[in-house]
Amino acid sequence: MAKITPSFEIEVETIDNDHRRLVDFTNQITAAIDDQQYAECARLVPDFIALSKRHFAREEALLDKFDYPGIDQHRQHHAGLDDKMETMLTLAGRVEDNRLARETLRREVFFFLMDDVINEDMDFKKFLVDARSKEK
Amino acid sequence: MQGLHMVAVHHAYGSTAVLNNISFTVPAGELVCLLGPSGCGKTTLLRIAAGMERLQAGSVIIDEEVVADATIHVPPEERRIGYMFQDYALFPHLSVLDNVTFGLFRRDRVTAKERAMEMLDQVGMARHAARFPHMLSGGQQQRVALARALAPEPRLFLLDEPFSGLDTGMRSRVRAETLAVLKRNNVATLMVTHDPQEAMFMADRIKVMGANGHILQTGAPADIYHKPVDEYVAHLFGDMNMFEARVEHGQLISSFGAIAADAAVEGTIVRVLIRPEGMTLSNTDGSNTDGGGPQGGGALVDILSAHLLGNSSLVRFRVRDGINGGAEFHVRVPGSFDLTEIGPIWARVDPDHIFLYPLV
Amino acid sequence: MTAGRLGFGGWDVASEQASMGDPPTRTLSAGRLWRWLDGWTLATLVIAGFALVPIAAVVYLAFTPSDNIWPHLVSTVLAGYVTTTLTLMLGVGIGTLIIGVGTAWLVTMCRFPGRRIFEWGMLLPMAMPAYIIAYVYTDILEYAGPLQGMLRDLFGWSGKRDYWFPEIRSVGGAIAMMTLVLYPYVYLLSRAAFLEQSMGMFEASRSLGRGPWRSFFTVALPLARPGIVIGLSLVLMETLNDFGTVDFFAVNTFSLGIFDVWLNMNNVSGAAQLATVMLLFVALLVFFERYARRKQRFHNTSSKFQALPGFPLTGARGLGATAACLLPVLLGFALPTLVLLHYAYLHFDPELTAEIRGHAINSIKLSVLAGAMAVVIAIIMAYSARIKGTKVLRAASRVAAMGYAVPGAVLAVGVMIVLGNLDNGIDSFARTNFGLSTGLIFSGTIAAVTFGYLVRFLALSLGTVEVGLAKVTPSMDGASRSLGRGAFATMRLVHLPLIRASVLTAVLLVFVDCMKELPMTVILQPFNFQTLASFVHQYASDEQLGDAALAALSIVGVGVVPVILLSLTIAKSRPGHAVGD
Repeated sequence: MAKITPSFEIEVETIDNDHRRLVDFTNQITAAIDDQQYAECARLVPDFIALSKRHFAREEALLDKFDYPGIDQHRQHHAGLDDKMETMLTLAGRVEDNRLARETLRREVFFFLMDDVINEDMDFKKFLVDARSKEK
Repeated sequence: MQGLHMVAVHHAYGSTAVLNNISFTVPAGELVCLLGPSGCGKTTLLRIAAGMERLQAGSVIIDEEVVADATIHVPPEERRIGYMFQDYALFPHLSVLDNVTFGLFRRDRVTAKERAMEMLDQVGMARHAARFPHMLSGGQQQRVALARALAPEPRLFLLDEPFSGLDTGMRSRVRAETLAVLKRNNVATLMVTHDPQEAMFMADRIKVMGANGHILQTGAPADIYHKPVDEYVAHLFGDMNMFEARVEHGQLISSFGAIAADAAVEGTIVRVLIRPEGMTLSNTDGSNTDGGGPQGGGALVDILSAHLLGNSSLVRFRVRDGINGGAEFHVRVPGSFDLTEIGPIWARVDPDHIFLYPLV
Repeated sequence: MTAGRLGFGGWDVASEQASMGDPPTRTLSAGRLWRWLDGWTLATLVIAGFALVPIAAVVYLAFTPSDNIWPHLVSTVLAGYVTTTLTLMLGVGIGTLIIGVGTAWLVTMCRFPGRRIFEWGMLLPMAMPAYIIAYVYTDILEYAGPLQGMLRDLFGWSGKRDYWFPEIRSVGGAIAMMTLVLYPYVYLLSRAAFLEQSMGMFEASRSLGRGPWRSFFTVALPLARPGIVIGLSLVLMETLNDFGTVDFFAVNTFSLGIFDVWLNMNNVSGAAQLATVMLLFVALLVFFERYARRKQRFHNTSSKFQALPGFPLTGARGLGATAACLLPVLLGFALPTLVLLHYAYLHFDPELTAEIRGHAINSIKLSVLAGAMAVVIAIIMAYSARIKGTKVLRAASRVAAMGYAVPGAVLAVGVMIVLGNLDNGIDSFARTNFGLSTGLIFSGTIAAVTFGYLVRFLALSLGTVEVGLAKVTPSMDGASRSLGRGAFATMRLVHLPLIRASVLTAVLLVFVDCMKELPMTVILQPFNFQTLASFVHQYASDEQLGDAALAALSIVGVGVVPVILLSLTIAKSRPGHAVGD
């Protein structure tokens, strides 16, 4: 079970909300795999990916607005995740017949959520918090 | 969220920053490898996770319990971790069995002994339970250290270059055994190493750390191997061939002919990296072969030497003409390479295996 | 003589692996700067301060004398003290060099009858304090003694004018006595140095045409030089320290001079001034020793035992080698011991024995007390270095352990000055504020002697404990903590068992050295209190060595124990044994 504890909050509402929803998705996907609800799983994953992409766009817009110096790097990082998301979609289609696919998907989704989405965002947490307080 | 979370960890010795805002997760049951040169801070990260080094900034969370942050510092003995040291740190005055039961003091004698013997069995050292550490070989000591650390059923397992003290023959076998034991016990594992092969073999996720305390790249072994983020990371995982090429009309022009290039700036010169297994040798120049297979006509080369490595060979050659004329390469070919073959040899580049970097 | 200073546990004979105060990597560190002023650091600094105080007091008094007789000293006795002391040091230095290096070479490089036994046997004279051997040989060799008597009977001489016989009570005699008991230092360190050398180098030299002798002088000896220099420095420090021999022989060295000016001329300042000059000699010796230690090649002593060439010496040469090794041991240990045994038997007296037993108990109590305290202090300092490991602490450790080089006479003066002033201070304070006189509190008590012992022997216990603690690696600490044991549990379950051997060794070494100690004991011991050493000194001075023989034998017996331990270490480093522990 994944959960956003205070340590993981970026303290920016839109981003944290997205994160929470992504976490929910992750938990649902994991549960679906565990309960052998493969059709459900195959349905959830594309939605998860779609939400991730929208989240990335929102994030980039926000960073752009405040002129975050590392924004190019962050954009590049998001772009590089396309392949991973493709892989997850492919795996989602295979969970029915393949145990390795199930395990890999579980792992990929969790790592994607934690490392590529949440932990990556830690980089700009301080910047955004400072920038927004200056705004007020 | 079960496992280890390092969030925005920052660490400096004096004025030198050793860890720069590092965040990552080690989920339960997964093995994450920190790969990097000595002095890059990876062992410090391990020690912070263990509580043996005081956290300066950020937070450390194990199984949803905050064990370290600005106000909290849970000492190592209360974190329920397993730690494996580079020198194994077995207690010389205790037998193998006593070493393994050392961490089981909260259980009664009988259960403790049972659990210890069970772990020793898993690592194949049950026969040596009455022996003392100095009587054991390096590989045996390593296994006892593993059993000892896992016996108390820790929720996080930390390994500090645990195989570097073993000779190469031993190493691969012990690695495989250790991996099997770790997976069987389903514990979140963070391992530190400077050996890229080791990281590739053992890890579910690799984090490549640079000398400046940053994480350069993180991903599954295949991701890092096939899509290194820069030359340094590319070089880590094996020998690379390097050559320069000009970008014209969306293609790379080099001695090897025209190679399809995406995302390269027109008119610039780029450095192309390619692994030894990304090139092929043949007796034909391929310019009138069918559509499948590598593009380009290839370059005419002179073979310098061939070394049989077992089921493959490493062949060194020199390109004759073109903009890469005179440059030397090495290519890996299956089986053995017949040096006495007469006739011209061409080398070709597989565009799926190249990495492009601007010539800075 | 401190056998313990050389071998097992304390200073590793091959290399000073844990040089004094050198801490391993910090465990469980806490980095902030202000933290260094805490319990551990404070304790170490206080200890270092205590060790420094007597020496500082001596120097201070020397420069601010209350009754300045320095000009008088300079014009009368100073030159004599300097030349006599230098002569003594030179003589002993050369003597121990020849015997020590020579026998070490024979034992390590050659094969001859009895070599195996001599390997450790050469150490036996270490058990014999110089003053005891001086008393014994005086008894034997003086005019009224058995040897001259026998010669006179044999050759029909009737008086002194009929023949010449060397006077034992002279500088020459003192040189001989000290050489006989001090050469083992040089032997031990030279032997270690020879063993460490790569046989390949030596054999290469021989293959290039230089015979064994030339190879020895041009290759082996220069490489062993640092080890030999260390051995010599220790020998010369002990020579400076000696009091019993020079007192008995009326050889006017600084040691004797200090006693003389202090007790006979009743001038502490003068004694302090002489002591300060002596400290200059000491400083020079310490400098040489440290310099040589730095130049030593540090070898991993757990390397396998190297097969040595073992030049076979046959026939006359073999016997010659055996004789060359046998003679020092015979003269330095076997003969005196036999004589003492003979005396003890002849002069056996139950009453006297009871008195001796009383002194023995005093000795033991005092030595055990000093040993235990020295080890506790050493453990505190060693742990400070391990946990904190700052430069300040390392320097403090070095300072605290300086006492091994300071002669007992100097320390005795220093301790007396310090305690005397302390007592006077407390007394005047009590008198002005409370109207009562506290008198002497510390001076002339067991505390005074113990203080002196601690300052002098701390280096011994510190070195031994440090080497033991170094065997407990920081990762063992980490392993114990990661397995659920806190700091104290780790100390109890991991450290204690592992350093137990070193701790016991340290207590033993300090114990033995306290039992043998003479100059400080004679000055600082309480009234009506005697140790075995001071008892032997008193009786020998009164020409009653026979009565004191039992006591002397006890001292030698105690002194043999570290020699046994050392020889066990030597035996362990031979092939077929587990090395390196």
